[in-house]
Amino acid sequence: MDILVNKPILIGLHLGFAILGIDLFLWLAGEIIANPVKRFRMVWVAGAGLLSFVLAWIIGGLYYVNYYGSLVKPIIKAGSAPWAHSVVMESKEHIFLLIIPMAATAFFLSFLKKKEIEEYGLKLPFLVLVLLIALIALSIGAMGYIISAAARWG
Amino acid sequence: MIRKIYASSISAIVTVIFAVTITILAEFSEPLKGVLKSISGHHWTTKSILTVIVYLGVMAVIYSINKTPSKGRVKRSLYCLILASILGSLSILGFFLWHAFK
Repeated sequence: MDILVNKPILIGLHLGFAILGIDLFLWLAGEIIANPVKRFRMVWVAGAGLLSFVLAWIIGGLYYVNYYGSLVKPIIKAGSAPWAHSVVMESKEHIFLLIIPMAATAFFLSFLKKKEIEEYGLKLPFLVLVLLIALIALSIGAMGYIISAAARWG
Repeated sequence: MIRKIYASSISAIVTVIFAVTITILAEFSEPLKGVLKSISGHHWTTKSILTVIVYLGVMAVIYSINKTPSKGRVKRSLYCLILASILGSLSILGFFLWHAFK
């Protein structure tokens, strides 16, 4: 369980799973546009994307709760961009909470057959939801960069 | 599956509203932040746990009371989730901007 106290590995896994989640949801958007008859790949991609975001959430949370407040936050608050914590980090940690229920809903949508998607007229809202998840996650990634930059170069 | 999708989208809307509300309320109320912290050791961990509970709980309720949601309702619920997520994200960002620079 040494991995749980290794800060660079925790950050790396948090970032890695977040990027994987974004990539998988962009792939899912492509699947929705293609709208194939066989849905196995769509379900797999949506499930893996949801799992990636859940892992990014748990691992990032572990780092945030155990190390960020005591090691990183004081450096940012004492630097030239304290807003990187008070605006960016505060927004990042709370906006992340919205992604999981959105991604879970997209996962359930991936189980619909092509005929059902067309019958219920859900192709467009499904696509918009999935692209929005990727966009919000990308924005959270950009926030992570700002926080990291503020801590490193103050 | 349509029933699950409808229940999940309504539940996700409620969860988004809940997460935004408790985030903003906790910034104004130290006692509430203290209660959140006392539950799990960190206010953010408690908010995370509560969002999961709210999502699963509301989903179970909506799933049990809506046997056959209409086509229109399912579609509308998804558009409402999209709108709630955009407004929720902007509300959180806007709130912390205001809170930091007021």
